[in-house]
Amino acid sequence: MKKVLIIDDEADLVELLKARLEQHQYEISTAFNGEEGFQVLEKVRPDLIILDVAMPKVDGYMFVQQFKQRENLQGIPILILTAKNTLHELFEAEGFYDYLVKPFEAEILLARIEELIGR
Amino acid sequence: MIPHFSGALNSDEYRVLIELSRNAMAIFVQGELKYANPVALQVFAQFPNLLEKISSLAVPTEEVVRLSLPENGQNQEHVLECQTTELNWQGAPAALANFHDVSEYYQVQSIKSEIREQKRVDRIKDEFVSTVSHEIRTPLSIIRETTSQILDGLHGEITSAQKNFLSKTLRNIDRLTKIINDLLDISKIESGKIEIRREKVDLVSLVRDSLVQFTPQIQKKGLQVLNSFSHPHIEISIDKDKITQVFINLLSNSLKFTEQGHIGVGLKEWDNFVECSVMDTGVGVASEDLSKLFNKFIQIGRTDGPGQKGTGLGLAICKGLIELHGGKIWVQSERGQGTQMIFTLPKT
Repeated sequence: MKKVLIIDDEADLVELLKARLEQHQYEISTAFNGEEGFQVLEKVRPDLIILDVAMPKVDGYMFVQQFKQRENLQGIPILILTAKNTLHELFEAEGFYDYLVKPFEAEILLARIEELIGR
Repeated sequence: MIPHFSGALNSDEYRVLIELSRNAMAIFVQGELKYANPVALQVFAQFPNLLEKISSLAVPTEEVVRLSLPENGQNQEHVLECQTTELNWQGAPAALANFHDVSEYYQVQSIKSEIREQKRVDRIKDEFVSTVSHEIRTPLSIIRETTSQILDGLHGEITSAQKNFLSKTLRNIDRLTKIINDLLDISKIESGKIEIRREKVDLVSLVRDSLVQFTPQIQKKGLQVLNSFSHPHIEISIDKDKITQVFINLLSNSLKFTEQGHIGVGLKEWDNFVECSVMDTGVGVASEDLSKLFNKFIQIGRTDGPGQKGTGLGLAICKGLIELHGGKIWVQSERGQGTQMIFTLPKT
C-alpha cells in the first residue's frame, strides 16, 4: 500500500482526506503542523506528502525550506494543498510546482496524487 | 555668505519697495485702515469681507491666522494667511498686517492627502478581500468534501432524493467558490497586483482546448459550433491561463444566453495583433445596455427561476485581463440578433 502523509492544521479536513484516501487504498499518517510532520517523517517514509501552507509553528513554506536541507527525505513528492491561491511563485522559487487550491474536487486531487506517486 | 549692503535707503526707495512688493501690507490704527500697498488693495477688492476680518484681528499677535473667504462673485473659497505685527504709526500704536492667498498650496495639499487616503483605503480593501476569500476557502473545502463524500457513498448508501438535494448543495458550493475567485480577481486587477506571465502560445489550440469543456452543454442544447481561424496556427506571446480565462468566460456567457443556432470563435491574424471574437445567435443585448456591459456587478439579462447565475464580474475581469495584455475589448449586439464580443491582443 502506498503511504501518504497529510500535514494540515484543520482537523476536519484531515479526517475527510484520510477517509477519501483510505477508500482508495492509501495508508495515511497525519500531522497538524510542519514540526509534527518532521516527527512523523522520522518514523515513516511516505510516497507523498500533502502539505497545507497556513499552519501554526512550522508553516508550509518553512516546511519546504527545511525539507530541502534533509538529504534522507529527497525524492518524496510534495503536493501543496492550500486556501491561498497567490503563493504559487513563492513555492516555485523553492522548486515545488505541485499546487492545488482549496476547495478542491476529489477527482482532481486523486488524479494529482496518482500522477505524483506514479501508481 | 550673506551679502552686506552699505548705506541706508531714502524714503523714495522705501516707497518703491513697498509699492512693488508682491506681499500685501496694510496698517491699522484701532481697527481703522490707515495705509494699504497696491497688492493689498487688489486683494481687498478680490475678497469683500477681508478688510473687515483683518481689522477685527484685535491685538497684533505675530501668529499666523488663516482666513477662509469666498472670492468676489465666485463660489470657491480661498484661504488667506495673515500675520500682524505691532508698530508705531504717526505717533499712535498700530498693527501692520501682512497677508497672502495660499489657496493653491492648500489645494495641492488637500489633493495629496486625498490621494494618500484613497491609496490607504484601496490597500485595506485589497487586504480585506484577499484575507476574507482565503479564510472562506478552508471551511468551504471542508463543506465541499463532506458533501462530495456523502454523495459518493463513502459513508453509506443514500436515496436518490438525498442525492438530488446534495447535488444542489455541491453546485452552490461551486457557485460560491466562483464568486470568491471573481472577487479576488477583480480586486487584484484593480490594485494592479496581477502579473502577466507571457509565453509563446498557439492561440488556435488554446481556443480549441477552451471549447472542449463546453462540449456537453453545447450538445445538450443542440447548438452548432462555427469557428473561423485565419490560419491553422497563430503564434502569440500571452499569459496562457489568463487568456484561457477570458475565452472561457466569454464562451460561458454565449452559451448561457443562446438557446438555438450556433456559437463560435473567430481568430484573425494581422501584422501586429490578433483580432479575436466570440459570437453567438442568442438573445443579444439591448442598445441601452451596451455601455454598461463591462461595469462591475452589472448583470444584463439575468434570468429568474432555474438557470445559471453569474457574479456580474465576468466581463469586468475579461476587460481587465485584456487591457493588461495591451488589448481592447468591445461588443456588437442587438436585441434578438445575437452577440459578438471582439477583442484584440498585441502579438508581443
